[in-house]
Parts: sequence; C-alpha cells; structure tokens
Amino acid sequence: MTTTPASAGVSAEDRADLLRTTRAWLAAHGGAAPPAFDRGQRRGTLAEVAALGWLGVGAAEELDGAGGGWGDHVALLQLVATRFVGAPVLSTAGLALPLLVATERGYDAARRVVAGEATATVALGTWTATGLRPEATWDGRVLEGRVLAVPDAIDADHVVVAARATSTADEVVLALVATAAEGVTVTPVSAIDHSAPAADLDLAGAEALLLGRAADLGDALDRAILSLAATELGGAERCLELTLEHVGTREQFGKVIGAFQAVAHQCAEMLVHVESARAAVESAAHALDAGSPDAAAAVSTARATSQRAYAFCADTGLHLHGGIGFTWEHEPHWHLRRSWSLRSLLGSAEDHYERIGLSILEEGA
Amino acid sequence: MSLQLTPEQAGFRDAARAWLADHAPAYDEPDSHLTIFPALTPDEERKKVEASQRWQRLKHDAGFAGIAVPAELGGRGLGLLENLLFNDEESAYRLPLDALSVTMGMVLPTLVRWGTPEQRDRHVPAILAGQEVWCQLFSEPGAGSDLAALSTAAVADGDGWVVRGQKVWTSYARDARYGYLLARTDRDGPKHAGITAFRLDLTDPAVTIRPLRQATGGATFNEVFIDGARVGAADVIGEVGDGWRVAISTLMNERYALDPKVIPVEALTALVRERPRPGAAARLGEVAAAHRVVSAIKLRLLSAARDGLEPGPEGSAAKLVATDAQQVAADLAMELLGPEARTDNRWTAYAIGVPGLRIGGGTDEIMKNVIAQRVLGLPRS
Repeated sequence: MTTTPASAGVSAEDRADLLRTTRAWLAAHGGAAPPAFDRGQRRGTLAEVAALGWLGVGAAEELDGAGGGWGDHVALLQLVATRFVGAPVLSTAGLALPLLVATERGYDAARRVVAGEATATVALGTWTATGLRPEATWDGRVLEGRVLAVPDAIDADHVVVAARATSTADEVVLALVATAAEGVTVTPVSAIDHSAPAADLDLAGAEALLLGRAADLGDALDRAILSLAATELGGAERCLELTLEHVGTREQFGKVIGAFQAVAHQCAEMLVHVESARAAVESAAHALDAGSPDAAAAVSTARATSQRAYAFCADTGLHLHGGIGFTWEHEPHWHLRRSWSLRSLLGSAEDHYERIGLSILEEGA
Repeated sequence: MSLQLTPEQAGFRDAARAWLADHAPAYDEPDSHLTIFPALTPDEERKKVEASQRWQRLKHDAGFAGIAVPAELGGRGLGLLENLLFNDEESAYRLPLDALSVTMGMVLPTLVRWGTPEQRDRHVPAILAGQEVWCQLFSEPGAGSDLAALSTAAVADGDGWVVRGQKVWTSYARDARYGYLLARTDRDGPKHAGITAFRLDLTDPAVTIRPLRQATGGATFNEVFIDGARVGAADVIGEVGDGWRVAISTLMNERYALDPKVIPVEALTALVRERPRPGAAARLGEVAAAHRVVSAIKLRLLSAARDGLEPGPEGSAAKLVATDAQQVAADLAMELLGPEARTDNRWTAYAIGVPGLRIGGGTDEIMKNVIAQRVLGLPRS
C-alpha cells in the first residue's frame, strides 16, 4: 500500500544545515552547463552527494534516509536545480525514489539509491489527467515494449516502468526492472537536455518486480511530480538571477538595459512566475506531508505553475540576454533545453490544469 | 496547508468563524464575488451602502470591528494577524463589503496611524460602528498613475487653506460624509514634498459631486469638484507637507486587501457544469490553480504578519496573478455562454468589468514598475 504517514520533516535547523552545505557544494562543484557525459564521474558525484545527504533526505530512517518530509526533499531539489551537477539526482532521488519507498518490494533498491550505490530512473509513458498511458505491457512476470528517450536511462541501474497489465483490462501497474537483466536493451539517444542523458529502453521479456497498481501509487506519483515542479522552480529562479545580473550590467544606448521599461517589465513578469511557483510548491509539499485530501490538486497546481514559470523564465531570460544568450557557451540555452525536456515528463501544465478542473467538477456533481 | 497559531490566536479565529457562521448567511449577496463596478440605480446603490453599514454595525456590536485598532478608540486592540485572520474567515461568505472597503481598508488605518487625537476620537469609533462613510480624494484627471503630479491646490488663507481642484474616479463619493484629500500646499518644492493630506467635509457647499459612469454602465465612481472649500489646521492628517508619506502608508494597505475569492471559481464551476464543453475542465482548472496560488501567497502574508515581518516580494505579484486569472475566467465564461455572450447578464458584466481591475489599485504597468524597482532593484527608467 502506498499510504505514506504524515511527516513533520526534519527540524528547521537540520533543513537549514543541509541547504547551507548544499549551497557550498554547488558553489564549488556546480556548473553553468551540464558536464560532458562520463559514466565514472557521474557515479563518483552521485556517491559524493549521497554522503552529503542529498538522496535520502525524504526517505524513512529504516531505509537509511534522514526521515524528513517531502517538503525537505523538494527544498533540496529546488536548490540543486539552480546549477548543473553532472549526476542523476532528479531521476534517482526525485522521480524513482518516491516510487521505491512506497512499497516494501522497492525497499532494497531504495536503500542502494539512498546510499548513492545505484542509479535509477522512471519510464512511465504519458501522464494524463485521468491516469498513465504506458508504453509497455506486463503479463504478470515480464515486461514487453519500447519506451523512448528515458531521461538518465543511459547509466541507470534500475528503471520503474509503467505497463498495461495484459491479464486485467485497463489496469496500469508499475514494475521495477534492472537494466542488467536479460531482455533489457539500453540505446543512448542524442538528447536536447544534456543534464539528463537519455536512452531508449527496449524490453523483450524482461523479468521485473511488480511494485503495485498505479492507481494505488497515486501519492508516490504525486511526490515524483512535485520533484519535477521543484526542479522547474529552481531552474526558473536561476534564470531570473542570471537575467538580473545581465540587465543590471549590460549597457546599450548609454544606460544599463534594465532601466528600459520594456526590459524591466519582462523581469517583473519573471518574478511573478517565480513567486507564484514558490508559493505553490511550498503549499503542495505541506499538503503531501500532512496527507491532506487536496494534495493531488495542490501538486497539480505546483507542477503547472512551476512548469509555466520555467518555460517563461528560460525563454524570456535567454531573450533578454540578446545575442549573448543565443550562444552555445552561455548558460541560458541549457535552461531552455531542460525546461522543454521536463515539460514532456509526467504531464504538461494543461494536463495538470485538467486534473484540477475534473476533480472540481466531480465534487458534489 | 494551514498557519501555525498560538492557542490564543486559534481561539480568536474559531470564535470569529463561529460568529460568522451564525450571522453572515443573512447578509449573503449571491453575486458579490462576480460583481465589478456594478451598474446600480441611485436607490440600489444607497441600499448597498446601507447593507454594508448594517453589516459593519453588527460586527461592531459583536466585537469584530477594528480588530487591530486600539481599545480606547473602540477597537479590539489585537494585532495585524488577528485582523487578517478575521478578514480571511469573512471572505468565505458573500458579504456587502465593497461599499465600505475604502473606509475600512484605507481611511481607518490612516486615521489610526496619522490622525490627531481629535480626528481619531471623533471618526474612528464612528467608522467602526458603521456610522461614517469616507471616500479617498486622490486621483485627478492629470494625476492617475503619476499620483504625485496632483494639482489640486490648498492655498494658505488666514489660519487655514482654501482648496480648489478636481478629483476623479472616486468610489462611493455620493454616499460619503468625509473625504480623505490629497492637495498641494507647496507648489515650489519637489512634487512629492509639497503635498498635504486633509480631512474634507463633503457637505461644504464648495464641493460638487457628480456621478461618473463606468464602462460597465455603473456609476459608483464620481467626479468631485472642489471650488474654494475651507480646511483648517485641525483637518490636516499627519504633518503639513508630509502628505506623500501618509498616502504611501495608505496605499501599502492594499497589500493586505488581497482576497483569493475575487477569482470566481465557484460561479465558473457552476457554469461549466451547466454548459459542458470539451477543454473547459482544463481552463476551469487553470483558474482554480490561480486561486490556489493566490491563497498560498496570502498564507505567506499571514505568516509574515504573525512573525512581525514585512510582506515579501510575493505580495507584489499577487494582484497580477489574480487579474490574469480573472481574465481567463471571463474568457471561458464568454465562450460557454454562446448567444448569451451578446446579452446583458452577470457574466457579460464581469467580462466588461475585468479590464477595470487591471487599472484600479495600481495598473499592471505600475505594479511591474514597483516589482522591477523595489523588489528586483532595477534602475528607474
């Protein structure tokens, strides 16, 4: 079952400590661009940040986590997203981990993930307002199918796959497959977002471990969705910060361009997006940690708002950098790439708005 | 998500909630969250103002008026947080608050903070008891967004001033007994330095008030012509020449006026249920999401108030988020209406009213200037 007990999270001091050490690590090791893919380096970095407590902050103590709330976890992911770190932190700890800790069968993999010993990602097909539309099938024992461009699958040890159960019509299950298992082929693809090197996943009779029905794992899926929202929020914050530095120093027509209203107003709009997303993410994290009945609507609000914030800030931020922003060596295009890439995962803003709308229309209908 | 409160604060909120549950439903105004600058006959407007005053009186008699106002002025003597908690509970109902919103939200805190002892003793208890309606005489034909450019002149004359000028877009002036006036007492200095805030008795024969019809067809606005009205030292609010500071402190109260209920999720839900259409659920969800965002921002404002902190940058963003959502709501409603989108009804009135929200209380552009300069630290253009 997936009922996650209400969590008060780690103490405010512990959270502040974690964020402080994370900030220091990011200042020393984070980059303005994703580093070129290097399997060994990614493993090394993942082990290093695991030791800093990045991966298990929201996992229970019996799984070797810090026993924090999801609010602690997403606060960390939001901060991490302000730099490029060269390790699959979002896929492993933000997307796969909540699904692994939701059911005992995932616990072994969860412990290895928290320790930084294993990498993981998710291949969940298409998220819609009324449920997942998987790209694989499950016959009760093995997975079949092909899932395209799975982020961070290039070196993932485990993948949580959504599959349609062939025995029961229309039932979607989540199953855990090891990429080393027989029948699993991982084919790297050229991805627009270099921070999450993607691969196609071919599943031909691949033995997998059933985690549960997707319908029973709704809370865990919402945690993964909030991880994406927090990443988008952190990215949007970075775009605003970067843009303010630029428009506050770049001079044209004899003054800094931030003094032009046409520029200043776009910066103000970025701030509106960022603050809206911040309020929505914080609110959704509280709702999840409190086991609130409206957590799903709060999570969809957070995701739609953050996704739009990152899309707007990445696009506008690049634009306000002018020709500088359109060069490969500068940071803005990496955010535009990541923003587009994330938008295709676990629902678009429209899909999330639809889930909110449908739930309102169902209430008392 | 809810706010962590002390037992005393929670007790206050629970008492307010219980009292409102007993009394607010009788004052229900079904369309109050959907009505923007309503088109009313003078008689209907009078009734609306009276309903506001009766509701205010009822709160007063129950000890829920002037929650943050000192007890010696007839208030409850509690803090900003309790005041906001009460407003939040109150906004769960559809109440006749609009006609007194300037009096309660802008004039009252200004008099409490800047008023002379005579002004405070005379007006604050009367305002709290719903006996006095005020209006705000700020905007002028030549001073809208650029308020400090106002040219209404108060010329020294004996022991007082003689006021001449014109004010405009003044809500509920015909129902008001007093005006909170900004006038220029010094023409020579910098434009922000020569302004003084006054109390103006609107029964002065030198004051002429004419209704000003709005785009919605309503006329809650007015033009106020002042042609030789006399004000004295006793009418000065704050110090002579310090009116700009007084006015800014008044306008700061708008940050707390934020009410997520202005985003009409319930009414829109009912409309979508009546007239289902593909794609409508997602757009209803977009409006509901904005409502959640504004509520979350409001909660951050409340936590700041609880902790004695100034509101953060998100407060500046909320008005823009809310008006965007109101526009999406109007667009969706008009699409769902079909042929009725061409007739006068509450949704078409709403659609015509929404653009007014992007202008009043700081235009979108002024809000963005404020964010750019005060929050982001960008230079003035």
